[in-house]
Amino acid sequence: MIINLKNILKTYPECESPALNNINLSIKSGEIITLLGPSGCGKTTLLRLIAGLEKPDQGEIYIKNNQVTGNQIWVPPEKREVGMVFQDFALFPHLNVQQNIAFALQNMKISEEQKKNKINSIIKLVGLSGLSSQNPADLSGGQQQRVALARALIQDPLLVMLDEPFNNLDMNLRSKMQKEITNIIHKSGTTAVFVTHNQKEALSISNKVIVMDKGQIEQKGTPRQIYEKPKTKFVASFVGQSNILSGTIGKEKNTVITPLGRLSCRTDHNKKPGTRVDLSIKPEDIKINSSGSIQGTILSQKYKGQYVEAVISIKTSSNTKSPNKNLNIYLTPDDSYKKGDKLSLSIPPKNVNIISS
Amino acid sequence: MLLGKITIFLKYIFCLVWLVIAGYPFIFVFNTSLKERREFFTTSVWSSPESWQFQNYIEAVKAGFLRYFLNTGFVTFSAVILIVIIAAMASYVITRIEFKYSNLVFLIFVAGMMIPIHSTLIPVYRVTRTIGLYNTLTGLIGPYVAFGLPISVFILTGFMRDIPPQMEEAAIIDGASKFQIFTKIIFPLSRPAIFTVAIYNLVIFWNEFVYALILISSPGKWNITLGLWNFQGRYGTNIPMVMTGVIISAVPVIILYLFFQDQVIRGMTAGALKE
Repeated sequence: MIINLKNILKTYPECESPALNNINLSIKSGEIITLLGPSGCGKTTLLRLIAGLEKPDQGEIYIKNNQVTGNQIWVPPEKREVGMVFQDFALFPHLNVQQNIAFALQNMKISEEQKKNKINSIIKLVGLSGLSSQNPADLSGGQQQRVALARALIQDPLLVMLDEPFNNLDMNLRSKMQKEITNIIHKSGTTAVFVTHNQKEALSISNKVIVMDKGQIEQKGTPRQIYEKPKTKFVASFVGQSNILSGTIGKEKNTVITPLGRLSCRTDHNKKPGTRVDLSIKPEDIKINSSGSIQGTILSQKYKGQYVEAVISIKTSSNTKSPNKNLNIYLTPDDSYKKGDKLSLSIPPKNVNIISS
Repeated sequence: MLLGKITIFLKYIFCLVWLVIAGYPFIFVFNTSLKERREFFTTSVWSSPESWQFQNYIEAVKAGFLRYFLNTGFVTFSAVILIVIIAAMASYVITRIEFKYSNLVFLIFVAGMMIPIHSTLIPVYRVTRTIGLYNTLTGLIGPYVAFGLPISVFILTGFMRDIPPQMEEAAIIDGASKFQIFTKIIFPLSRPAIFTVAIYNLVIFWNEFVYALILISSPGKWNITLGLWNFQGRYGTNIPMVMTGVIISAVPVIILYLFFQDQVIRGMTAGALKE
């Protein structure tokens, strides 16, 4: 393990609730991890604790099995072998690209020749050849980001951490830089932790996603696991859109009684018959099917480019309090449905995900 | 459309009037410095010199003005350099290093701005005599530094507070020590405020009179203002000669300001506008 966090607790003096509450986390070498969550969920604080820029109130941090925080042990940031790319890049405006990158080498006990070689190879790696004498102000956002990454990688850190690195870039540049930055990190072989509140970004750049909310880890897993099998209501609604329904597990494990009627569901849960549960269904998993058992009426439609988001009013079974339940579904832009049209819907059992009791 | 043009026209008129108000005293002083003593009294004070006479400038140099110039330069530049170093270091500590009494230290510095200079004259005179620095140029540097520090710390702390903390954190992760962060990051980034502090103090010390009057007695150690004061006495009503001294003493400051005015304005307005 490169990083190991045990029972981390951090509360800021001016806040009542903890910024981080009992965080336990392990990061393996070579992994690209994303900390995903809304603003204020504690992801940047977690990054700063690992970097040594802040101290936790409680808990232990290990980097490569060496304790760096906790039990009255404190290793300063510069000795933790971590690199960091800040949200605003934090490039030194009075230094040029080469001087910015070389700043991290000033106290390294290596010859000038070795320093020069290191700088040249990292400039080549991040694709900034020919720009080494430029000042940060003369560079584009993408180029500035690559300088920041080069500065973080120049000391061959065990871990490089990137705090919302794509936040300040426009949409087109953002997706281009996501690919480029992950390629550079793969090439360098470094373990990386990204912080983002953008779910699409998290799913596309990392091989493990950690979803956080209110200072706690909600779920860890691969992007596919997080998206397709959310374990909590929060993850289901934060990572992509979800229809959240409440229901009761039927007599058979693969059925659940919901306001929409009896639905077949996934069987990879350990709930007993009669247990109250919540379930999540992604809008794109609800199919229009003439033989579908769910009948509804289109309430509204919103054009979103690649798809049309429609809200369908479903008449619920008679024993529920509210007579109607709304479901979000995605239609293709070519569909010629209008408001008020009646639809029959079906949901494949593998897409009915039990999330909590 | 018409209203816009009228507004622009009025703005230009205002600027022109302001230019005359600000620029005329300088033109008057320069104009008078080129006149002979007799001509000054026999012609209108607004008239141009009959012929451009640089004799007054030669006289001023002969009267030891170059010596005063060098004395002022030595004291001013020494004090400004010391102030920049001390104020920058103090401001860095106050703004970037967390300690319990940082606000109190800042308040003590800033409170210095409220002390009237005249209330310090006797204590400063006595201390200077006691430590044996009376009638030395070095003896002037201490009071100048003490006098300039409060406003300098005030300007620099305001500027340094606006430097994003991420810059410093990035340097910490890169392994820079506090001293390296100060010398290689914070100090260079504070350049506009440092220029402001330097020029502001330079103008004050260049024109300083009261401390020089009470701490210096030998004519060989006079600064420019004492020299000018002495001209007034020596030449009685020789106004053109006094004006010549004023021009000579003002030129270096004006040149410095012309070169660094952008930096000074940036330092003064730092934090006022979001970049």
